[in-house]
Amino acid sequence: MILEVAFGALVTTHAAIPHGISAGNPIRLRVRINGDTITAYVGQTDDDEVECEHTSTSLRSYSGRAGVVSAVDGAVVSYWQVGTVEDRILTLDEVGVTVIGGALYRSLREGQWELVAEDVFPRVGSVSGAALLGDMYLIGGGLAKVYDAIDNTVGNYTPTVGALPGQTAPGTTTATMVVEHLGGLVFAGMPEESLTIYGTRLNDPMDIEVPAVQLAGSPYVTGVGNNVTVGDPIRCLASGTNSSLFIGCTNSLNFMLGNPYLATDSIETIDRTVGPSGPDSALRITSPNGGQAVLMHSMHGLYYIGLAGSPVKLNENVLDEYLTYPSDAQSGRDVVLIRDPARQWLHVFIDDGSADTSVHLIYHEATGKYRRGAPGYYPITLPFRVTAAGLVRGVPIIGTHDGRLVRFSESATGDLGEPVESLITMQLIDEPSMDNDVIVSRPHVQLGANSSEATMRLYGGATAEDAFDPDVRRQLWQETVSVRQFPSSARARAPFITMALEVASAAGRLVLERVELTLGEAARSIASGWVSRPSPASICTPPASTTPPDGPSGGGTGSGGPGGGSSPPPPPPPPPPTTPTAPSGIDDGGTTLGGSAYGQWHYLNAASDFPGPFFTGYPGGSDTILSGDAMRKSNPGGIGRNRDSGGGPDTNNNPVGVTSVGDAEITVF
Amino acid sequence: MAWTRNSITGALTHSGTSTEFWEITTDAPLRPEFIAGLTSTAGNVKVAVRASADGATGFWCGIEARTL
Repeated sequence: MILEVAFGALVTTHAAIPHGISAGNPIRLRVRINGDTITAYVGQTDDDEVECEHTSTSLRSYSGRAGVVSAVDGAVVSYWQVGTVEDRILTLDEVGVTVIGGALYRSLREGQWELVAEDVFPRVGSVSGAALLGDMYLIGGGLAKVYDAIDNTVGNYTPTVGALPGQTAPGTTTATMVVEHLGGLVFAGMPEESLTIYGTRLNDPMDIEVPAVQLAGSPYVTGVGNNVTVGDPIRCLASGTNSSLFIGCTNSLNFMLGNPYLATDSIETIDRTVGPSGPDSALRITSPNGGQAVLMHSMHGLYYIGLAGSPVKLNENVLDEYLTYPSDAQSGRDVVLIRDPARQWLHVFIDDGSADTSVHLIYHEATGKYRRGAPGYYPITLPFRVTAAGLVRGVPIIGTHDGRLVRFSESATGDLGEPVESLITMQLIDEPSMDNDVIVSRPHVQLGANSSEATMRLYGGATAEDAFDPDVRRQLWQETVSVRQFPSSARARAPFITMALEVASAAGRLVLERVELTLGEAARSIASGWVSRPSPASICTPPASTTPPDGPSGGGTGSGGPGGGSSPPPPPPPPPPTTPTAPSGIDDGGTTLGGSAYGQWHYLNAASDFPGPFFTGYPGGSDTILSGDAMRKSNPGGIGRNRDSGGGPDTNNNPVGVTSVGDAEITVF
Repeated sequence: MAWTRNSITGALTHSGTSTEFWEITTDAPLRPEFIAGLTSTAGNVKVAVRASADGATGFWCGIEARTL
């Protein structure tokens, strides 16, 4: 209770509540003063505290004085504390929200999740969520819920003006996607209106009724394309570049430009050939060079949609394996994109329904830099199925099919108890033409300081495809490499060579910084058995029964003879060529391809790290680069740490016909 | 008689049946929270806030042992 006392006499009892504590028990008494409000708490533990409150401006001048009073002989105050109430400002970004098995959990601090409410959604199904004005709006399984992060409560989301798409009762909707856009919520994915987009009123998610006369900020409804009844179903919504809204349909890509709250919006279709893989397969990012873009995964690969709007297929001629799949396999796959800003990774989780067969990819931004045909793809496997992912306080949190939340760790040496095997197959080592052998010597593998010892192997093949085929290629060299190791004395020769690095122990970590080697070439050796010796051609002898052709007849009438009298006279000879006055062509400074290639230092990247034009000469190769067990499992802590070479030398100074892409790769023409 | 403070444990013990006030020696913060641990409900100890110098005027917050 809160009593007001004057000169030792009770004036009035301002607030009282039964405390429910048995007589004689120890208790804790707390009194908090916040402005003019006095709140008294009493209880034995935090859980059984009761409180009462009184607001008064009386006796403000005495605010700095406090103590304890009692008239009971033997009354004891065992401890006494004075603290200060400080504001803690929470934004919704700081509160992680997830739905697992239909229950809603929240996280206020890293690594800690607590249950908010059970049975919010069906135990199985997808849930889409968007935050606006401090609340999280969640839809899925036909239900619509709103989570109040401040009150930590969850309830039905039922607009007070209008109704959600497909709403039949409070807290229901047939929409399956919701995003925040320009201060309102956008709903899509209704089976009965698969082309339509609904937007709530600006800054008012509780108003979704489109008025007869639309004013600024009114709710809106629109569709994809010029006619809302024509188009293909919306499959994905995401924030777009420059405050646009990305609308991915089954076979088209669209942007809502302008502002629908000012009636300046329009929907532009930028492509009619590809579509996103699923509702979580598009993501707005800021690329390492500062440009805004939308990244999207489709069954054809990974696309970069920049400000210009046209989709650019990043993995063009680089990697099809794992990233693509046939159209009839679309329905069985869940694709989730999430960016790890700290590690500069883009995760492309592709779940095919089984943890054993699903291969996900880490795109290393520092290597690939979101350029078409650039390298940087690292396949990984995980011992669980990925169903969702989100960025919570800057850390990617991954939701698994079995109801766990996991994250990547720099210190982990296992995946949830399973040892991690790290294996990186490097790019193809070759020198044009196809008819020569390449000679690799003194490979220098520079491992990161936290790396375990690794096994370096050199493999040779008669063709580029063979070099990556574990069933066909030959192992030319094997050696254990360690951190700060001197360059290897390895030497290998084959028509096509590749290198593989593997950690020595299953629980080890592979941190790869750089690989350099000396590369030369020589004529194709037949003795080494890579190619078979061509059989000699048979001697050309004219058949005995052949009639020799007629000679010039000099006036004959035959039409087939070359010397017929009707032949026109030969053309005059061409004029002699002009002698160039200065060197031209590719020979710059006297450097020739064959002469200078030998002995140059080259830098290697992982197997996918070779640009498309180089590889187009080897049909089928792009499908086999990472085939078989080339990349079985990767250490999430170590893999992908193939950091940029920092201030290291760039291969741009290579005088041969080399096209350098970035600062750590080899491309020799 | 008055409140006495155990110099080792810091516990306060009241003697006598007169209503007496033990005051903290420093000014309370602008937005304070006071926490008192009581060994028993029987002491009828209350936290006095916005109190006058003798504690006889102010807001007394606590329990009455009989209030269950």
